[in-house]
Amino acid sequence: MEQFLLDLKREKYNGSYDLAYKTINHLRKIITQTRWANANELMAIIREAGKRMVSAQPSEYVIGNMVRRVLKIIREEYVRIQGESEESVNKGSLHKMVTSDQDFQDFNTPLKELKTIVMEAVNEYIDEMEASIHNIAAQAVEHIHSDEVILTVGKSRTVEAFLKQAAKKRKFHVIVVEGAPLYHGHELAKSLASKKIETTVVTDSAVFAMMSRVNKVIIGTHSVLANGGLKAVNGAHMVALAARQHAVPVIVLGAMFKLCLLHHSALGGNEASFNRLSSPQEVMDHYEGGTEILSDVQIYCPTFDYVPPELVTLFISNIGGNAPSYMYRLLSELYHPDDHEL
Amino acid sequence: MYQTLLLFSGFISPLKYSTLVKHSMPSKKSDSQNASIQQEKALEAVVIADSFDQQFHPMSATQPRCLFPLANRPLLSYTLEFLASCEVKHVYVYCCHLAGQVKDYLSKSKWMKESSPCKVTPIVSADFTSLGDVMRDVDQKSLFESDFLVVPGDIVSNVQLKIPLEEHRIRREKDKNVPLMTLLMSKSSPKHRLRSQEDTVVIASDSITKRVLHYHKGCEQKKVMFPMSIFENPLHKVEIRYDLIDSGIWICAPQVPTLFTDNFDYQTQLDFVKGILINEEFLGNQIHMHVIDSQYCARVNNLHTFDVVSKNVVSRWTYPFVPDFCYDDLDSKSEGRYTLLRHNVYIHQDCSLEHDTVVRDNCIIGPKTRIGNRCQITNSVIGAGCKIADDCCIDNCYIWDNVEIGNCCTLNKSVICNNVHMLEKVTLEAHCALCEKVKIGPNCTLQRGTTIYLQMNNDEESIKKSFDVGEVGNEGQGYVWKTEDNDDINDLEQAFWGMSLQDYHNTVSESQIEEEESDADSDLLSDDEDDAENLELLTIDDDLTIFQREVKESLLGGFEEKIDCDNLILEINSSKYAYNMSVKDVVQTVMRASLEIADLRKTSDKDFFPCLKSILLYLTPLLCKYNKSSSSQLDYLYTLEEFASQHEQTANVMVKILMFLYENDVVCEEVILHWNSNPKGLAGDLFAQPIRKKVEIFIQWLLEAEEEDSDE
Repeated sequence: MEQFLLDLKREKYNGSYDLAYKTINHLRKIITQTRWANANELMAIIREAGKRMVSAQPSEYVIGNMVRRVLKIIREEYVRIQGESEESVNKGSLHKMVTSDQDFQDFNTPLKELKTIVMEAVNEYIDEMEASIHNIAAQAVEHIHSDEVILTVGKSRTVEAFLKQAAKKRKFHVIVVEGAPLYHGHELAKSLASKKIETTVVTDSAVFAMMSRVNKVIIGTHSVLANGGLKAVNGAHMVALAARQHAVPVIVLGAMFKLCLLHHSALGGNEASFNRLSSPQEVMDHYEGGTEILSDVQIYCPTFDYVPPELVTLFISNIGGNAPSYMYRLLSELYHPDDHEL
Repeated sequence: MYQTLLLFSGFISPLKYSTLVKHSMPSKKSDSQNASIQQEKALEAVVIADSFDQQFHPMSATQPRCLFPLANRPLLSYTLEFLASCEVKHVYVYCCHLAGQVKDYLSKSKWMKESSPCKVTPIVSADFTSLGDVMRDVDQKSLFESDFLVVPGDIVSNVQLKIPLEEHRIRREKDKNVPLMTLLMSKSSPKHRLRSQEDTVVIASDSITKRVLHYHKGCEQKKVMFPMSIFENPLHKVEIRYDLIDSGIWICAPQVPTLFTDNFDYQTQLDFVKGILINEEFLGNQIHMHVIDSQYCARVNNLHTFDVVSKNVVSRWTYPFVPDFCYDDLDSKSEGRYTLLRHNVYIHQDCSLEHDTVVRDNCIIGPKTRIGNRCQITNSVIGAGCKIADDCCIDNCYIWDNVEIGNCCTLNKSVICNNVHMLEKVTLEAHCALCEKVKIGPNCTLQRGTTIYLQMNNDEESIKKSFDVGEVGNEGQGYVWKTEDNDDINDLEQAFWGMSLQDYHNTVSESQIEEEESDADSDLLSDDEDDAENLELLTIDDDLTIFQREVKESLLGGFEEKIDCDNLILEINSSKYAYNMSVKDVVQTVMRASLEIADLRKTSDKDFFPCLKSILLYLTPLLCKYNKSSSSQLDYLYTLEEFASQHEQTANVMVKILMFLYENDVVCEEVILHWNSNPKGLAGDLFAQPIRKKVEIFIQWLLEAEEEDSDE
């Protein structure tokens, strides 16, 4: 546990998929290795561990998502063993809440088979996660047509797989925005070019000029907020605005585990805690940046951008394409309302 | 012994050059393939949690330096966190000064808990007085069998040591005993804020093997000597670097402590490095270095660096070790954390700011701190549990824990330690420091650079003295800190705050100008204090004076031995080119030299002119050699006049000299008349009129002779 928390703090993970995978694996370990009598106890243990994990790396919403997801699985499986239909737990509407006379589940009944069943469900979910990138990529042909010009920002594994999948059948042109100061765009361009995809790298400032030639903007995202907005690589907002100006559709790729409960409005305008400000080193080397002349200059290196939902045309996840306005519905299916607050 | 001299005139751009190699390095085929894969040993480190100096005195009298709160976290925690992030598994913390406090801190911190990412063992002894003692203790306990790290307890860094450790390991594999340790250096431009004067290092290293060939520390001298041998070795591709700061981090081979034991006179790091380098040939040990690139590494070893590093932490250069990441205590849920607001303002969740209080730019406000109405806080760090009343203005200050500040105080660029109490209307000018438990006020102003202390090593005696009410206010408790040997407030301020480069530049530039005027070839160094003395010596040694001396000597020698004048001309011409002198200089020098020689050789005052005459007679061909232009002839006369104005006998025989020069065609009539009508000396000032009066007769005669000529 401690080692895992330490790894979280030191950002020893490689992208959000890796992080999600590691988190759920860790939770699986907790389920098998700790002693608990009933579902309620197990949920308390998971919740406790989840809190610590979230506080170790609060800017990674995926961790919280995984914890909630596991809690939801436990609830579902418990109810199923009790012999009730899934429907009654899942689709709690206002009408039902008011009219139903049945007691809420207290999850206190010890069940022998719960552990194995929960493990099965969790494993199933892990399989689903593993397949998510392929599921998204499989939809590529539906969205990318021949001779189209696609623009993307930075480097996203999902986008990379998506484009490569499309390239197997179609011929198209990709414009990669380099994404200063980290220049992940260069890596993506190299990888695409190696697959014989026609690729152009442009600077961040050239986005608007290029946009008139672009047919579609396809970007990855760090996470999807509850209102359908994005927490994406910095520069994404600018690209989305330019796309809106030129009436170019913006397609966002992201697996379901990136969908989180946070509303952008809940931050209360505190951009700094939403964003991650890393060392100014990337913007300006400390060799120069630490000199007396520059002592009064503030240098920032933000990592993320918030993209409001109205700029996003389509959200493609492993279960298909959805409009950003539909996010709330997906959320209610993914997580149980009682788990919103860990 | 041949030595190469390198002159540093102040802070020039980073000096980097390499002497060309005659042969390229012989390419070594790596035979590491068949080397068996060694089991990786857990990395261990020694933290020297004591500086063994008095840099922070008297602030450090009641609190050890490594526990000073830097951005509200003890310095030592940055060091340990850095080591943990480098996957160091076991850390030995050596503490000496106020070791109890360090041990207490460690035992309460997360480092001593089960969950700690690395094992921390404090080793306490009052006997350690230097780094050498610590290393000897390490040897005695034989703590390490494999490579280990030595890290000072005041490092703030986010460096990943993987690469340097790997480099060190490969070097050690190639050659079992020779590479001894790797010094870690961080890069910094010459005007970098992290540089302080005493830490300046100049390093000569081999740019390929990264071997350190020469190590020089300090810049009180502007000149650095390099042993010639390092340049002579054709295998060295020497690189001299000035753009480095010694981070104090060593990667050591296990025999390093043994070497400390063998040489009991090694006290400091500098002793050791120098010792190894000097004895390199017969001990066969080598030191390498690794330059940290694009990562942050700095030491806090005086108040200046304390200030700069704090600012760097606030502006996130040390990411991920920044205040809003609660990497310190994993389990303390109640502690809360800092929220980052725009412009690098970190406010703890558990602090309260009253109405109209403005916190702007680069601030940290600690937990449980209450700040009153209408305060202005900029660029400051405020610790935990502080109470700041209304209408205070705080700029560039470091306020530690549990400080109370009364209404209407103004604080500038100062450090205020734990539990200080400031009453109403106290003003602190820049560079003040208030040590623990001091009480100040009400209604007083502390001058720039004042340090107030109350306790010294917890001994009772100091408290019995009465307080200087004039300094610390009517209800104040505390003494003004003065060093015994030096009462100059400026020096004190510098000694305590560490001289920032900015200050240093100011002092240097003054002395530099003087130095530039009197060429830089001198062997002497100018220091601010004995400028006057040096200036005198410097003028003697500049090119012109050397040239003058040489000309005089050759003329004297020539005259005595009756050498042919043509040879003398040849000799003077060659010196002229050697020192890059103008014809004007030569003309003046020759005239002056001949007069001086005459003055030297005369037996009595009356004897002066005959003596001079014989010299001039002998030198006529030489004088005629340089009199081709009228301006040269004019220079002869002006030099003569200048000399005469200082030398009475010459003045007396001025007419005779002029007559002689005229008769021998050294100077012509027009020039003499022109000279007479322009009574300005060489330097542009009027010369003494008496000389002009004395030559009046001669001029008269000249004019008459001219008239006669025209009449005919």
